[in-house]
Amino acid sequence: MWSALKYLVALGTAGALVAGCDWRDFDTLQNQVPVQRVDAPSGFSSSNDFASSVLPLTPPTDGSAAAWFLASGTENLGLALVKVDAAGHPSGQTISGPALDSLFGDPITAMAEIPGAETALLGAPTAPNSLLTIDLATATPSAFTPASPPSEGLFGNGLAAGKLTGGASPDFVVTSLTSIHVFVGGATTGDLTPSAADLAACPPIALSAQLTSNLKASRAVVIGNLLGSGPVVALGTPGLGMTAGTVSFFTVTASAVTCAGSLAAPALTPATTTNVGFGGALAVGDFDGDGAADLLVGASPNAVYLYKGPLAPGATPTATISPPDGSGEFGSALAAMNIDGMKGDEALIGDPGATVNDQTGAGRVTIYTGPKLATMLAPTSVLTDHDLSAGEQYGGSIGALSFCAVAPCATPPRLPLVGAPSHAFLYFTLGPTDPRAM
Amino acid sequence: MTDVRSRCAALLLAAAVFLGIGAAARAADEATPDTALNEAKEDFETAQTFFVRGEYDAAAAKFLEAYNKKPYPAFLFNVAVSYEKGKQLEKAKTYFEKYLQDDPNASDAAQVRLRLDVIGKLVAPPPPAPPVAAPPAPGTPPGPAGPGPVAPPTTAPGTTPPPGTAPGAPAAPAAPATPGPPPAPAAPPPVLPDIDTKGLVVIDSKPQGATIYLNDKRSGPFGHTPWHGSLESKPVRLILESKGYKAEERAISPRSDKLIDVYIALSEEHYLGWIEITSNVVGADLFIDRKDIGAIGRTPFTGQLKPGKHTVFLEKFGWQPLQQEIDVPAGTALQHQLDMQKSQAGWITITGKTTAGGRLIVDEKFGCVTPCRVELPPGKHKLRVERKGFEDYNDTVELGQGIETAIEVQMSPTPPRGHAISTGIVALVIIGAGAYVGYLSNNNKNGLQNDVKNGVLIDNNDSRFTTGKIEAIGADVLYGVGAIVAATALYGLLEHGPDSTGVADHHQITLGPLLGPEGTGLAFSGRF
Repeated sequence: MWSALKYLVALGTAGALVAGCDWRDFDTLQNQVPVQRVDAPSGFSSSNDFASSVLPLTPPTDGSAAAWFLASGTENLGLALVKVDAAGHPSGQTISGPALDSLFGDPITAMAEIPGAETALLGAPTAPNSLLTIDLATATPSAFTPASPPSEGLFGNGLAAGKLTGGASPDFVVTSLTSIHVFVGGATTGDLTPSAADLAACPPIALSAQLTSNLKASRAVVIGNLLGSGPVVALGTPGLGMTAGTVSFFTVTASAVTCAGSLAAPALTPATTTNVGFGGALAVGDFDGDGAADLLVGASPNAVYLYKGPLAPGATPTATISPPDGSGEFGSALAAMNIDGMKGDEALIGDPGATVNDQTGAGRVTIYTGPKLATMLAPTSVLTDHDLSAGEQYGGSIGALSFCAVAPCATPPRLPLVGAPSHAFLYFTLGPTDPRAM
Repeated sequence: MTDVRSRCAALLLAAAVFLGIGAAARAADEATPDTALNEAKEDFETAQTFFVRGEYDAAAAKFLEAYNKKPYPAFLFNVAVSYEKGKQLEKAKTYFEKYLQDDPNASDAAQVRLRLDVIGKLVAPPPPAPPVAAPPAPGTPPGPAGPGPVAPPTTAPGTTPPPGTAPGAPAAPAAPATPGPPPAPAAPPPVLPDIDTKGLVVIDSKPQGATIYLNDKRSGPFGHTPWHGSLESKPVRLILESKGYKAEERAISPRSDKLIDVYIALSEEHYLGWIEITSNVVGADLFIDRKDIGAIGRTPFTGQLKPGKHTVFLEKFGWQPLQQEIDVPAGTALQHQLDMQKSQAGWITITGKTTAGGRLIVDEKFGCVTPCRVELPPGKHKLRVERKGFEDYNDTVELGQGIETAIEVQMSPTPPRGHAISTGIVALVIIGAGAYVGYLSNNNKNGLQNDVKNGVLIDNNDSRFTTGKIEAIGADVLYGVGAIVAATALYGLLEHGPDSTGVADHHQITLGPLLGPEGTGLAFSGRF
């Protein structure tokens, strides 16, 4: 009897010791994972169309969060402000309000941060009142209604904000199906557009009506000192059929928007194929670390081109990055950020249609190290969802998220923020140090 | 030549020794000097021959002749039996009555009387018809047989009395001329059970007066020579013993048709010594030289022993065993008084049906297999009676000198452990399942830790977090349930049934004077 008791106690003790079943260990471990997956917050309209478009934001000045970003669906109206605390834990907030109600359910497909104002500009090009601003501190959206609403379609399908005219306030760049508007100082009155003659001097910037709706609803617009003469607007215009895509540059003054030249799509091999995807995505960064802004142009699905700055209109690409095996929509999303902490930014190239581990459309993001970008044959690393699945479209949008664990941060590290329709992913450990405060 | 002579002398000496031994042996079994007995024996055997042939009258006559030579009542019994077999019931009745007169204390006297009743009814005349009954004709009833030689029966040999009349009975009256009332239906005549002749054993010795034992001396003396009588028809060992003579043993097989004549001339045996051992304790077991063959008698004891030194052991409960050397000179009779001392110890006696096959542990040492008694020094003793399948009985007794503490123990069965064991197995299975699930959880945790350590880009929604957490909680739940079930099993294992109980009786062993037919002494008695 006693021997049976001894065996019982010994087995129980051994079992408890071997098993070590404190489930809280998993919580601790969960806080230490290198990637935080962000799901749609409660109240979001559609959990499967949550982060099709992501907009990284400058960390709040009040230190209420280490980082934050906007996530928007592109098929349905849905907007969330996601805050990330110093430990890397995300918490999302579904944005609502009358201004969003006035969109009548049309999705927000373009977003741009208004620098220094903790405000973002939102575009819902298919909606009647297509422009909104959102006060990030209060998460309150407001309508941005130009005094003279433009008559062209899909107004607000591309947005950018920055100091183009040298004023105190950032200027808003808003594109439409056929034109580009600049709201100087963010004012709703007196927006600038290129003259007809000026537009004629440049390649056409009007998008073909036959383009897919998602291409028409989201247009690549970036601001940067790309030409070496001050900030310019770079606008991508994907082509269709036999018409190749282009990238046009516009200089902006307080009184005019002028075409400063363009980049033609490089020819493809074989030459019978037209490089229609050229200009579908743009990113500005200093990839070679020389202090001059370089331009990365996506030509999905065929290639991504690097144009070393300062570049001259009509220049040929410095480097062409060819899609790796399994690519589907290579270059449809781009981002530039310094990940490794060394000289030169890295190029993050999204390919939401890539086939990964036989999962068609699982998507991936490839990272190319800046200084070696021109000579690299393979990416430095490849990001995918760890629990990937077919049709996930990981990498449909990419951003560089500034993370300031302890405010104020002079130059906060930037983290890759990868969007997919269902989730957003934050990568904390790709750099030399994990910036989280744990 | 010398060698030849030596050999012849040796042969003659050997022959003389052989013949001498043979003569001595024959001396013990020499024929009885009673010629009358020999003649009676011959008549008995002749009578048995006639009896076997069915010539019952001749057999009766021969038995009667034997009786006239040696008046053994058994001969009269056989005469009566022969007449009964020969349908001469009157004569049979007569000789059965003479048999009872000769040996009124015969072991079969009661049966013979019953038989006489039956025979009397058979030979009685039918009741007379009242109105026309004629005066009975005078008959000549047989006179009573006196002592001495028995006269032959009045009925001449070869004559047969008429049916319905006994020999010598008065003649039946003539039947009436006129028919009377119809007679009442006659009751069925009584039936005589079958009977056989009686064997006879005659035991005599030289000198007479030897004590006869049957089979075993411990059953006591059977009689003294000369003795005659009947014994059961089965082999028996006769032991004849007489002071100053060598004891003799004979095996005989008495039979109902045999006269066995045992005559033993006891030889004086001067090389034996006669001892009489008495003690202050009557009935103590007596052992001579060896105890392993058992006691040869009880005190007081008389018997012969080979000359020399012998060790006498006396044992009796309540007394200290006694051992004493005695010297037995040849051809002498000595009396030894051996006094025993009261035991200094006490006794524990464990009784009770439920203790059968158990063990008595006294002061953590094996005592005996219960039920049993152990002798212990006076003082406090810790007792435990244990038996497989029963609760232990524990007790502490204060044992006094000469005190016997008898404890009747009622052992209580232990509860069955089957349910507890099966519950324990279930607990083991549950805990084992918990360990396995915990192992799976640990595997997930280790995998996640390794991935984090190695920079694998896992996210917070990795399925292993959920799976591992569920497994960890599941393992904890299983451990908890297993622990509860194990505790239940443990309770079942340790559960006691009702205590085994015991009732103690203390007996004071005392001494008292004893007066008996075999002697006097101190008797051992208990007071409760």
